[in-house]
Amino acid sequence: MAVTQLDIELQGQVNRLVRSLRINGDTVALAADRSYRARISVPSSAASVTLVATLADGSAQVRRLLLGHSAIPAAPL
Amino acid sequence: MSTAQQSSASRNAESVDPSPMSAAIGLAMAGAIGFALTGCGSSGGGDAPPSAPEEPLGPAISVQSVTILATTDSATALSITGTDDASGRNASSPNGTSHQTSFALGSQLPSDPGRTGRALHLGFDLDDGDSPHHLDCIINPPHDQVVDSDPVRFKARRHLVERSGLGASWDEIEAAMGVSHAEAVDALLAGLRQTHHQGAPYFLGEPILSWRERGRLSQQARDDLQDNINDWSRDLRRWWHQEMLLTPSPLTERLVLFWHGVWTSSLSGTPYPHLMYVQNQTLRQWGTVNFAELARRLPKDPAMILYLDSDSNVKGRPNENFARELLELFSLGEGQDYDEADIPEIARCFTGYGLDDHFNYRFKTSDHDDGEKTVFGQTGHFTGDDVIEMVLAKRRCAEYICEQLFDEFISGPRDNTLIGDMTDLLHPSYDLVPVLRMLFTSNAFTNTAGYGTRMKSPVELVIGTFRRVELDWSYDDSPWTILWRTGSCDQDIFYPPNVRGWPRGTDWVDAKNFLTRRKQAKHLGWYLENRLPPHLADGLQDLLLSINPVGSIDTRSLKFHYRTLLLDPAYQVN
Repeated sequence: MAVTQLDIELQGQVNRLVRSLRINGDTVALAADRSYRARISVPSSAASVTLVATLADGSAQVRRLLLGHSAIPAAPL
Repeated sequence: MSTAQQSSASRNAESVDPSPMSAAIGLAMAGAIGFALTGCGSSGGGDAPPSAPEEPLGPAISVQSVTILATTDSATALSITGTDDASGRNASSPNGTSHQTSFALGSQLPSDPGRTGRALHLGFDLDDGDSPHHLDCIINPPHDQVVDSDPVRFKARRHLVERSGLGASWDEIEAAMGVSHAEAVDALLAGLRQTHHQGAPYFLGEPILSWRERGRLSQQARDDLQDNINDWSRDLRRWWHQEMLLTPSPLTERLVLFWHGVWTSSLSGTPYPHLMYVQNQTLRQWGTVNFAELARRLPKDPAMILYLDSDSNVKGRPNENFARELLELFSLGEGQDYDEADIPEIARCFTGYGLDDHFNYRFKTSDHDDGEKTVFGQTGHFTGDDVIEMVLAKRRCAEYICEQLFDEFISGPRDNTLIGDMTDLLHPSYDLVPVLRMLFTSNAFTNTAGYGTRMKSPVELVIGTFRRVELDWSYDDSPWTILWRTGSCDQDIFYPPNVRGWPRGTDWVDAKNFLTRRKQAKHLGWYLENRLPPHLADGLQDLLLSINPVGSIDTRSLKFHYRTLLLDPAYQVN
């Protein structure tokens, strides 16, 4: 058996100061209850996910996930 | 609380240990992993009346569940189980090639680790009983781990943020790391602002008196007014420094500072600092968008009129100051695509561009020479406005601006091919954003050989230090201190040394100046070392230096580490 594709899906919420949320550059839709759901493809043996929340005053909150796995061979750089 | 302090409080809401308030919020958020406590305990954002009951402000971003989705090349029973912190609910996947298991992140996890909290390790085992696989997910990884995860990308994004802004913080670098270089450049350009981030300076409501009105004041009132003007002038400089510290778009302020050094004016030539504020805002409004619009406005800018004596440029007694600088320094370059004979003729075109008694622009028809002039080989009854259009029509004008942008953001020997391509893009629309995009995505900019080859300006050195380590200047000693820090290194904003504006590159440094810059770095080190957020301990050298340090770095403690990094000559460049 070989894992040919691996994704992770994050589900969560942002607070009321957040005007928009981007994950790895893509804008994520925010529901009325300020929840979000985003699927991220894990492209190689190591990947990172950057969440950028833009607040009402234009400033940003940046959070990061690092992913590493042994399921899929590393893609060439 | 000042704006700076508010910002500091907002930043520190996530950089200190959870307060009782945040702990309470954390309990209220049980079952959720939060990433931050932005604006914790405040109404934040100003979008709700203070008296209205509000729900507690949770983390800016929280993650409540993680779902693992795996596709296999053949039908199999794949079990996906959580390890470490991810020991929440899990389920075996059915037989097939698509497998999905959700993990609700439970209350056994810290409710709000925040960026400065501990890293969360989520482990997932994928096992079909034959060949097990493992997936690690680290939330809030230590900074050195972020660097190690992709050092090439880290250095590239750090270079982009550092060169285009005012000191690269972890937040700025990590936001850029999440996207491609081109997307990171687009984000910088999309963030450009035509207005300042903070409110306008407080003194703008104070009336501007004419010289005659001032003359009618008592001696005491005149002295008081001058004292006020001196304070306002100081506070205007503090205001701009604060804008540089707080803006979400450092590139905007770099461009304002850039134009302040190209189309130069000075507080020393203006009776009221209001006028330099107006010019500063004009630079921000148009210098981020379109050069032609900027060039059409600055000849009528009151501070510019005073600085280059346009008010005394009248029919029969032309003053060539503005005409000469327009060609030599503002648009074409000395001796480029014009004749010496054009200068007095252009001066005649600009006669009558003056001010009223309260220092507002006014075209004085009686002072304007409406006779025929010959400019760039054309003859007509030209005004100054006509001259600006004639200058803008020249490709050389666009080329000159591109040369200046290259020198500002790349430095070193000019890449004439790149400058030629930028010129083609800039002329004749003079839209700046496409040109900046070309500049920041060019090989000349991204080439790793260019890392650490550009001398920081004093503003980048001082303001950048505060921004890199996310500290507010209100921590500094007094209102004057930050002005002294940049001024002692020969960059006293609003007081450029002469009409040629600010030096660039290695011109910032001579034997005396280098010692002063190093002394300032040392002072900043002393002053800030005890205030460094602990979360900066990881990867501090990667954050602060563009290139390897010249000397040995003391890593005995965060304090020594920070101090020796700031004192290293490598800190002077980016």
